Parts: sequence; structure tokens; C-alpha cells
Amino acid sequence: MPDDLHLVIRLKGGDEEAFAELVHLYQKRIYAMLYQMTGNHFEADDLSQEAFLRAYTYIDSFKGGSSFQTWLYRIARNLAFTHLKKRGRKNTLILNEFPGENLLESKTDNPMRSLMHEELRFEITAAINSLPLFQREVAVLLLLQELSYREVAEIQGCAEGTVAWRFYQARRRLIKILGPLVDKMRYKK
Amino acid sequence: MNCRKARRMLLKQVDVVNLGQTSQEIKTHINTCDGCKEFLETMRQVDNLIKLKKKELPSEEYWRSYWSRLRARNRRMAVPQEEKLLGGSLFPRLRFAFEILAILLVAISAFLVANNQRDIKTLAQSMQALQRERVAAARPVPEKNIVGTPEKKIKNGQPKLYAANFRNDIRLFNEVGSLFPSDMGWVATDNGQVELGLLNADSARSGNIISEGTRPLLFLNFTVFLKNSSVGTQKISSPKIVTLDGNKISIKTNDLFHSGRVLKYQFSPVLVNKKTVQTTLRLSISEPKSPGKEQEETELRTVITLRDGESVELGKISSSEGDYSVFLSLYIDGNRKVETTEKAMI
Repeated sequence: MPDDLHLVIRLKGGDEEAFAELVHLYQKRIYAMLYQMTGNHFEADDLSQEAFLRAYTYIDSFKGGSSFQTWLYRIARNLAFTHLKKRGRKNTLILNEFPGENLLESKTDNPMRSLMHEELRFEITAAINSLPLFQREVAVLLLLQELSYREVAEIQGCAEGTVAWRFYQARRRLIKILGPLVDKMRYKK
Repeated sequence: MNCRKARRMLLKQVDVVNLGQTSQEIKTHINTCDGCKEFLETMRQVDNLIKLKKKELPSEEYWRSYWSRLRARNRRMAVPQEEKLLGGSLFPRLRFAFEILAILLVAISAFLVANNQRDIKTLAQSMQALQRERVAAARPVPEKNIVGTPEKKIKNGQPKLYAANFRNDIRLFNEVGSLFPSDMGWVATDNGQVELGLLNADSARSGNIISEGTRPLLFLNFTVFLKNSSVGTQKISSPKIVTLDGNKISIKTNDLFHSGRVLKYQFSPVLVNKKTVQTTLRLSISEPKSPGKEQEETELRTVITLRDGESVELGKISSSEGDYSVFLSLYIDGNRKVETTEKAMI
């Protein structure tokens, strides 16, 4: 029996410690997924906390038909979808004021280099944000969250073939947008 | 293998660094085709760029405070519910007081109006009773004072004569009357429904007049339906209610034929009160005969209590189409109004 299932059983019995452990186990993954979907730290922070609270509230409805991780991802993605639909189709690029260091940021004092990194980050975020929601989700879950096709299919509630098709479309679009950037970087080298 | 097909297959691969799941045919093609090799390289570079997003995570300090912030948020969400009741500020407290006051006022006025009406009614009834006594004294009392035959009236499409069934059966009328403590009294069977009308306590006795006008009725309707993952939900029947004997309802059911199977069901409901029916259900499915196989019969017996609007799963029954879940639902409408122009005498 996986660890999280033990925790879920304890949580169903009213053990709040188990909930804390589950949060600790999944906080980074859920946050990261929401950040990659929304492209904004504050939204990801808010939505991830909401996802955990919903999981806590509705834990009795988790029957174990899928893994707890899949169930949690599904709550988080539903929240993200509702939020992104509310936000509209604007590909908003909001400067992320990360609390603490951002590992992508240049650690040199060279302002020119720093600016280049910032631009690169923008380009990548814009490319992901330009994908339709389902394709964006598939790209995030497969490439960044490193889930399997089967898991993504469970989260999206569709067949694996549909996931494969969405991933194919997403990747084609990403190559179309980021391909010229890659070529430019290759040329510079 | 052509370039188009190879690239399409590559685009569906998640891991383009190791090409673990890629077929040998594609690998061979990539090794021999410069264009596809370059395409694969671009894919790898794009993937690497995208994967830079993985590194965008807040600092450890943020994660350390995550749980405490989540708990604080949970408490904030929980507190306003209590505040709503206890009154966090002056306005909610005032509103709560006003609501209580309004409810009290409505209750007092309803009580006063009802009291007043009862007095008026009693006076009117006394006068009517006096009048009736005078009329009765003036002429001989007929043995049976029935206006027309109920069956005929229903057939002719005239207003329904709801007192139909028990008008010819005083015993049944009295039994129905005794079922309901206050004012429920009359019954009819029509189109497979049992209907019980309201009477005031005085008239719910044999020989009294049922006044004309609009009456609320108790309307009962049973439905048996089956659920199966392959077939979905199938309503199999709204069984026909034949008679009401005391609080026992007799039901007429027909055998159902479906894909060679015969489905028989019987149930005998008992009225417990205005909103509850208790029933025993017997249901059986006979499988069709097939060569080399004897006819199978599955039987299901169960006792259930159904309340208004409830569907109760009676159990599962096997058939060659898979397992069926059997449900019985009951619909009771106590507020149904029926217009009657008939003066019925018992």
C-alpha cells in the first residue's frame, strides 16, 4: 500500500497530522503544476492552497478508484481551469515576484546577462500560455510533472489516445514558437 | 518510413533524449536522414527550454511557512460561519433579532386567523346542521343518497367522482378515515393511482356531505426501474394500483418481456402514514432457454420503506446482459389540487 494511502485512511479517520503530511508530500508538485499552468506565483499559491483545502473538505468522496495523487491533481486542474477561464483568454504575463531566490535567474551581476535570462523566461512562459488549455495541461503534466500518459488520461478524464493527440498538437505549436529562438541560440554558440 | 511519419511519431514521444520507446525503424530513419536529425535536435532543445520552468520554484523559506499559512486560511474560512450566527458585528446581530421577531409575528397572526376561522366555521356548521335536521324532519331519509354511478361519470369524461370507491363500501371509507388521525378521509382509484382527499373531522363519517370545491389530494405513484452499465436506466413499469383495503394497497402488475427474458414482479405496499409507504417486493427474471442450458430463474425478495420522492435500491439481479440494479421509487404529492363540482353523499 503506498504511503499516501495510509495517510488518506488516517485523514478519513479525522487525523489532522495526516493531512499535514499529505500537504508536505504534494505541496511542491501541486504548486509547480499550477504555476506552470497559470504562469503566476500568486495565483499558483492561492490555487494550490484552495486545492488542499478542498481535498481536506471532500476527502470522504475519495473512494480510491484512482491514486490520491491523481485525485489531487484533478482538483487542482479543475480549479486552474475555472480560474483561467475567468481570467479570459488574455495571455497575461505578470512579473513574478518570487519570495526568495529564483533558480532560473542569473546569479551574475552582469545586468545584460540578467536581462537576457528574464527575456528567455518571458518567451518560454508566453509559449506555454499561448497553448489552448487542454494542450497546455498535457504539456505541463507530461513534460514538467513527468506523469505517464495513463495518469494524464485519468486526470483529464479521457482516453490515452486523446492525450497523445493533444500532446502532439502542443509540441508542434511549441516547436513553431520556440524553434526560431533555439536556432538563434545555436547560431550564437 | 518517410520523414513526415517519423516526425509525427517523434512528436508524440515524451522522452526525446533517450528515445526509449521509439521503434527501431524510426531510429534507423533518423540516423540516415539529416533533416529529421536536425528536427530531433530542435525538439530536444525546445524541451530543454520548457524544462527550465521546472526550476522556477520559490525558496525553502516559502515552503516552510506553507503549512502554517494553509492552517490560518482554513481557520479564516471556518470563522465567518460562526460569526454569522453569533453576530460578529452590530448589523448581523440586529438582522438576526429582526428575523426572529418577524417569525414570531407571522406565527401569532396565523394562530389568531386560524382561531377566528374555526369559530366562524363552527357557527356556520351548527346552522347547516340545524337546517339539515329541519329538512330531514320534513321528508323521509333515502336509503342510499348517491348521485349517479361513479364508473359512468369517469367514462363520460365528466369531473372525476373521487369518492367513487368507498361510496359503495362504507367499511372501506371508515378504515381509510381511521388511518389518518385528523382530517384525511376519502379515496379513489383511477388510472392506477390511489388518491386520498381531505375532509374536515365532522364530515369524515358515513352519511355526511362532502362539500364541493378544490381539494388537496394525496397522490401516490410507484415506478420500478432497472439500472445496468450497458443498458443504462430502464423504467420497466408504473404498476397499476387496484384497490385500497384499509392501509393495504393492491397492485396489479404485468409480466414484462425483454430480449427473451421474462420479468415478473409483485409487491404489496402498506400505507404507514401520509408520507411513508412500506412494501415487500418480489422480483424474478427468467432467462431464455438456450440449447444445452436449463432455464434459470433469479429471485429477489426484500422489504423496504419508501418515503416521498425516494428511490430505493432493492438489490441486484443477474441476467445474461450483466447485473441489474433494481430500484423502486415512490412519488407522493400531498398538495395536489383537484377541482370537483360533485356533491357526494355517502
